[in-house]
Amino acid sequence: MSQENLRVRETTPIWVKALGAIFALPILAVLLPSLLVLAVCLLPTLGAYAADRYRDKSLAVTVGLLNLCGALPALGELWARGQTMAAAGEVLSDVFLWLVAYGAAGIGWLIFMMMPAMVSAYFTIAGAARIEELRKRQENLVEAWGGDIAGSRLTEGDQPSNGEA
Amino acid sequence: MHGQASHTSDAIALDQTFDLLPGERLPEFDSPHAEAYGVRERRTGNPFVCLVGQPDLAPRRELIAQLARQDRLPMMMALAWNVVAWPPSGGRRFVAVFKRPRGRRVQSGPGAAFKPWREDDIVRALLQPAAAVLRDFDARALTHRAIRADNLFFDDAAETGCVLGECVMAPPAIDQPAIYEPIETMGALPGGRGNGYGADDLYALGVTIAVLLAGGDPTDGMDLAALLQSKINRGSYATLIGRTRLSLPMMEVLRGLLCDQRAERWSLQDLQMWLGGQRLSPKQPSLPVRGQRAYAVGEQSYWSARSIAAALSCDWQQATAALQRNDLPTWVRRSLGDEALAERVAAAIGVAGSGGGGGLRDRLVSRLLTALDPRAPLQLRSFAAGIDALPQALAVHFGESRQRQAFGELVQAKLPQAWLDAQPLSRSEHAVLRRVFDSMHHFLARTEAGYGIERCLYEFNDHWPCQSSLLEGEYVAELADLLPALERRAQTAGTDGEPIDRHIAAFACARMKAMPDRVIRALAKSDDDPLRRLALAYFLAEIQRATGQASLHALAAWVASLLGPVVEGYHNRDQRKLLAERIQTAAAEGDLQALAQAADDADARLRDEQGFERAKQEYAAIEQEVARLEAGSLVDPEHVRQRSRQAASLVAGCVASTGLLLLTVLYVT
Repeated sequence: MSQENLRVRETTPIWVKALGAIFALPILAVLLPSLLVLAVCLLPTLGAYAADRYRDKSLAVTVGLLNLCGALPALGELWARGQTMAAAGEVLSDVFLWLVAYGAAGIGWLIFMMMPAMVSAYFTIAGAARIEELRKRQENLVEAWGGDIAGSRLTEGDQPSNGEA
Repeated sequence: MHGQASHTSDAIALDQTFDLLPGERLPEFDSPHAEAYGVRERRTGNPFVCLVGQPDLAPRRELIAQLARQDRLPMMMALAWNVVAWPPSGGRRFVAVFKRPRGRRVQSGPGAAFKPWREDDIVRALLQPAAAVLRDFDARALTHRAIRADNLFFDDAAETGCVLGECVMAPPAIDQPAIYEPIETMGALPGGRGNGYGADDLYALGVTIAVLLAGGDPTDGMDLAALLQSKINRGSYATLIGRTRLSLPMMEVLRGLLCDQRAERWSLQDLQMWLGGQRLSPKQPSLPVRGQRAYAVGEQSYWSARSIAAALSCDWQQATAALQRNDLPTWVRRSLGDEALAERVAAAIGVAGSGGGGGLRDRLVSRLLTALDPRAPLQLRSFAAGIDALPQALAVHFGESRQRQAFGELVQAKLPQAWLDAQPLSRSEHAVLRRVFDSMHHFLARTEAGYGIERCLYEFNDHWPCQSSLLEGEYVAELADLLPALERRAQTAGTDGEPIDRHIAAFACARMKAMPDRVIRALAKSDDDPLRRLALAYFLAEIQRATGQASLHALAAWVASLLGPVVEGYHNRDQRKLLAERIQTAAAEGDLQALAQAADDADARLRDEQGFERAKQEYAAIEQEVARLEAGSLVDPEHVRQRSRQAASLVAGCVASTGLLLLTVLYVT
């Protein structure tokens, strides 16, 4: 992307922003109860986002996806009772709905915490299998071309023909 | 006329005309270099005689072919000839069939005594038939070079006429005792006398007359050096006739035939005029210029430049001493008064000064002898030959290492060219000889198989049989005989070693002028064994292509067995297997050309090299990857962290999607 394109993006005309606000404000006004319920239910995601030090925010993504999934029953209950602040208060007073939303976020957190051990175990097994496969390929090469091919190494700068596992 | 030979139980059929009888030995008809056996003509049963040549000598094949239809001449002519398997010798031999003389040999051996002939018997029984033969030879520009008393046969039981013996079973003049040779060629080795000239035959005829008159060797007891000095100082006539009383006509013919100046010697026309009754004035001996003072060689004194040259040529140590004394130019100037000769002698000696090693001294001695007597044979140490007979001398004496070495030095030092330069008169054949010697020099300068002294042997001796130890028991004189001989060798003697050695390589190159030089060069690549073996296959394939011979199964199998390193030169196992199969297929067909081409697939070799390079790189890359894996690159904490975070997001996405789907289903239902 060129410098000129970047500059154009940075200088979005003010009327476009105004037009966006004109459309967004009525929606926000109508969906305020839903936003309130979501804001409460998605607090674990907010916490995960704040706790994740890495740029890819994988912890927030993991917790957030399951947290969002867990918040949907509360949202459904709200929409079933009507988009009012009173209904929002009733929904938020239901502990079961809180438990579902926060429990789903907890499962996400649990997955994130368990994944390194699982991945490490997987890589250990996959690496051994890959070594065995490569040794077999070397044996085939020696059988086809003779032992002389083992007499040299790649020159500096050459890349292995096979990628990482 | 020659043809195929086949064997019956006790006879060998030659040309479907003669039955050779190996069991019927006829020593009375032996030539010095050929044994005689009985022969029966199939149609009539008449007896003939066959002479079996030696395997290391070449018969005079051109002469045989030209004389084949001259059966009216009073001479033993070859009627049929060929190379046949000869059981008494256990190998193949060149044989020729001759009409069997009806009488005995005139002189049973070179030194044998017999009853002296009368002059009129000599004219009738010798000179008239000999003149007829020499007239025919002269018309064809041929020379006999075997006219001597022990090579004459009586033509009938009454012994009233003679026939000349054969002259074709060995190189020219090789069997002539020194007494029969003129001064110019006496000093040469027996194999280095050459074809000579018609005048040399007439000289030999004169000596034969002298021997017949004396009833044996008239110089009996005289060694070669003394005989040579006597001929030089007294003349051949005085040496051979001495004080024997002769009739004037006989003295006339002897003085004419024994004249030591070749140009002044009686010609064939002179002899015919004499036989016709016309009398000529007797030739006076032309003796060399005698010096005022003698020149001492050892304890002997010599008075002429020619006699000094002869004496020095017979004693090389004395010749070397004379060179180092450097007194010959002074002697020539003061005693002979020949300033020009003195300068030539001084120039010959002074080419490289008095220093230098033994080789240089020998070469200077050779130049000195040529300067003193330009007509003498070219000599280096014990090797001496007429200028046109150098290749033949090499061939005859090839088995003697000192003669081979002397020949090599002589050619490399360009002594033949120096000999030609020293001649007072230039002859037309000198230009041809110069080209021959330049070629010899070139061949000797190259050391690889196909060149060298062996090439000189075969290049300039057209029908000389190949002397390779691989062809023992064979007689291979023509290119077409080579591969069949190697095929027989492969069938009978096994396939140890290689089917080409230096002799075979040189023989083939000489007989087949179109042998590619790249093949010859590759044949010498001792540091690249596969390439050399491939060149070996190509070499034989070129011969097969030139001769058009097919179905050389045993030889092809022999060559195929030698191509193992060529096959092993390929890296790829499948390629090796494929190549070996192709080679075996070509070998089974006996096709050497296909065999060589099967073993030499340039595209396959390139593909193999490229594939090998790729395989090497792949192997090395795998080695690096395995090392990285074994070092724990996959379970590196950072790598695991990155991958586990991605995996967690992925799993969460999957679980959330599933949950969303379930909730949607629940909500809808």
